[in-house]
Amino acid sequence: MYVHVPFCVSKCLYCDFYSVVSGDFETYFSYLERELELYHDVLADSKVVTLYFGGGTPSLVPTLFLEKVVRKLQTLAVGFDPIEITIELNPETVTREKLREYKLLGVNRVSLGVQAVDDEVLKGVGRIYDRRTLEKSAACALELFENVNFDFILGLPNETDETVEKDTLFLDRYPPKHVSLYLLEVDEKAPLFKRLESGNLSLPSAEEVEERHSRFVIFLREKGYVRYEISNFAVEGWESLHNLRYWRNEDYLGFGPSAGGHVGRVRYVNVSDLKTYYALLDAGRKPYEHFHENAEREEELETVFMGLRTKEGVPLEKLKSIGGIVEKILQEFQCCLKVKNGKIFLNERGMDLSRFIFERLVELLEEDER
Amino acid sequence: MYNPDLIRNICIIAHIDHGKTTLVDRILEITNTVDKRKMRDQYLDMMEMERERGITIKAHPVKVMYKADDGNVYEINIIDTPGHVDFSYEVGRSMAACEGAILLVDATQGVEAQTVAHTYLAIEHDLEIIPAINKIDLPNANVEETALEIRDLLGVGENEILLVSAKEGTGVKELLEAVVKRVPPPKGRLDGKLAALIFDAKYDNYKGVIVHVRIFDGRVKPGDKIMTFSNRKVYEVQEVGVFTPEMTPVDSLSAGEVGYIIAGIKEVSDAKVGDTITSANAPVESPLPGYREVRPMVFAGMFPGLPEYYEELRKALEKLKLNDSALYFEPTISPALGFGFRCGFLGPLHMDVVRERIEREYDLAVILTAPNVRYKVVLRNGQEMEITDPSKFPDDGSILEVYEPFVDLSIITPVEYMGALINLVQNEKRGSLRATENAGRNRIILRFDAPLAEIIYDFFDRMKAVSRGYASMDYEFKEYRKSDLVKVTILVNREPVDALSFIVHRSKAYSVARKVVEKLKELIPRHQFEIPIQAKADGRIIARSDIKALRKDVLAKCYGGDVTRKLKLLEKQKEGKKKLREIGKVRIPQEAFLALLKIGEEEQNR
Repeated sequence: MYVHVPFCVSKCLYCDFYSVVSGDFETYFSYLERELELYHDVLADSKVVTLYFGGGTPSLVPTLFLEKVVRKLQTLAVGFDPIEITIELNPETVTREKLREYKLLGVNRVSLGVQAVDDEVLKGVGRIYDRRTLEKSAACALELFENVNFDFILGLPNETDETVEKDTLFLDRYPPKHVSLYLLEVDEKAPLFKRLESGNLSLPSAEEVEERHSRFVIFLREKGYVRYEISNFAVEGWESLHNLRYWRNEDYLGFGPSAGGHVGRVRYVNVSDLKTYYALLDAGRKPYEHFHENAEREEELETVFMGLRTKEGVPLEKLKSIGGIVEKILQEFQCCLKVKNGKIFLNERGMDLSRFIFERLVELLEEDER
Repeated sequence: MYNPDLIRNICIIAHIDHGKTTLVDRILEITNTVDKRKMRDQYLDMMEMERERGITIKAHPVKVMYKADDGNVYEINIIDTPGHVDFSYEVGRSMAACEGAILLVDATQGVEAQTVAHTYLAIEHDLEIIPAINKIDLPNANVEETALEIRDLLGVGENEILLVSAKEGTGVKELLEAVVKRVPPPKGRLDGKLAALIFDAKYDNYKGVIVHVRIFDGRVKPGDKIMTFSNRKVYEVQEVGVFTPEMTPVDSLSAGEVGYIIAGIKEVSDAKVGDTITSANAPVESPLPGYREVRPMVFAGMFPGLPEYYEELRKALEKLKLNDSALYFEPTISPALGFGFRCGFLGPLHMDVVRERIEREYDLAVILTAPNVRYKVVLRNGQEMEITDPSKFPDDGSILEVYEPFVDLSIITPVEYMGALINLVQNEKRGSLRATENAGRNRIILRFDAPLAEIIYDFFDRMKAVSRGYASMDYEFKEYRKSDLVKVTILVNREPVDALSFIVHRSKAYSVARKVVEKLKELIPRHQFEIPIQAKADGRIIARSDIKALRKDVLAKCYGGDVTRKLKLLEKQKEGKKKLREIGKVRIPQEAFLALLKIGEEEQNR
């Protein structure tokens, strides 16, 4: 189960997630409870295995509010006892007290949004902490939690080989169990898009970034992390159980603006702005803007699209209705796609070309329908 | 009633933005030709695009009735002249229909190169020229200096130059008085054989071709059998009329008058500007002087943005051709771009106009390849050929000699930019300075011989850039000259891409080739494999740049709330890629075919 906390101290330039800089926490969480109530029937016969507070910046709001969410879930979901509760942290909001409070609440995994270590790189994209703050928060998180993730983004403005080396040195000093390594994607809606268009900022060349990504991946492998998903690396046994549910296309619920859920064959995505979110809840309606019951093929497309992201891959038996297309794409990308023990998966090379392969997959499906 | 002594036929010589249209509007107002309520600013600028671009290719003529101080009512016909260098032949034909010209010069800008060229043309045609300085109401008007420039140009006395503010109406009446007094009435015999000069033709969906004419001798009326002299085609006149400024039918048009003829002509190419209309039964022995076949000077390939729109592009070109006899096109096939057309234009502006009209009026995206001129090639076996498509340029081994068109290029500029302009033309554009002349106190006319190929793209903008916008230019075809030209073929992933090849002077081959391959490297997206971009001339590779293989194309982030959005995004990307042209295994975006033009733009931004 995912709970979105759409508040941030300030907006980062690359971010296209929904969040606002100021907000009335009290109001928001009371509405969030109303949304939870609207799902009482689903919750009543579900077992909540994982809970994830994402954002925005969940660590910005007083723990009291998160506690209210957990209490509410305890009343709605029978036998609420998730095996993994994660919260996302932004370095500037981390204090020892806060982490202790999280522990008391039952949080057993934290994900720290490091993104980069170098001050110039951080400043360049509007992150509001410096390296010292970052190191303190990392040390603190590792001290109090065993299951810790650090997020990194490659390809940011001001990035050089040297700044990326600082990232890996940082991981040497503060080794978490889990690392997410993303490549910058600039959405048209992100403020960075305009800055780049106007020439005020520039990105490192694609070739440089590829090189750094390769080096970073090798570094992680040598440190004992397994690339169990395109962008996610973990010491064996420390994978994110919550995220694996997404990639295995299992059932999950998402609450809060822009959150999405998947129940059976139904997929929904909530409206992304707070005003509409409130208005819909005021009217007693579930606050989604997209709601669709997938046909078998659609469901299987999603299953393969998400499942191919992982090292374990997708059991072919789950892809029966699009079997012909899977056959075809296997043929076309013999260098990237493999089958083992009845599961289709991307090898490392395939993971690096994932967008290209997924695009082709979508295209094949469309051609097949015509 | 018909009295040729009370007719005055004039045109207005003016640079773009010097106020010609405003002046005509004011004249329409003073003579009560157009109802005030119906009065629309700038009546003559009808075509939407021309209005937007602030240029008139050629507007309708207008007839106004002016009651002069001497008590007589005069019929004044104002014939429009195109304002761009691409259309100088048509300017000459418009002038041939007149006895006088108003030379209108903006007091804030002074005499421009084109004004000079057109003035000489008017003098050649024996027109009575009435100089007038416009925009005298503006605070930065420099009447004194402008007058000096006009005197240098025409050798007239100060008192012969009129001062006008077309915007405020000042001096317009005086101008009309001068027209009546100084411009002679048309000569011509009413009882002579019909001789009418075609100075324009427009296509109308309902009426067919509307021929704009000036009658020199004789009379024409509905029912008459007429003949176009150049192709000897015979038609029966259905309607004749005048422009008031709406088309208004009249009983007949007589010697000295200006108006239109509708005679069931199907295509404007059958009513060629400069041709003579005469009686089919009693034709004149010789046509009116000055007619020539207009030949396109600039050529480019035009391809539909998506191959499936080929038919629609063909229809659009055919429709445009109905109204534009100078447009030339023939089907072509390019291994790279598929079916399309090889098009010929009068010049770069004409090319832009055609492209814009197709994109705007017919809503079709087109790929236009870099323009080139018409080359003459003599082969070793003695055979001569004309080349308008670089991909058809023969192998080096078989060529004996190549000739390229040269023009008389004149540039008027403030003296301080003279050095920069000479440098531009001589060092970058292979021109040579032939003469300089004074034009007023601070300005100078530079006359060059220059290859047309060098000025058909990127020259105008470069000239404006080095002169901070002050210089103006004009050119006219002069002659073919022997030249050391070489064809550069571009290979993408080792396959020649015909639509990217170009012809260039040997001295510039290396530098241009290098820039083009670099530009292509920027414009072509990376693929899963390395793509060499090579330029080849004289059988050797003269420039190369490699597009590195795309080793990573990662969809880095996808979690629960993203599934739908990311799938949609993939869909969109896939659609975007469909718009790229696939050549060999390489997808090439449309803008790559204009790489040659783009390197010019960059130089100008530097």
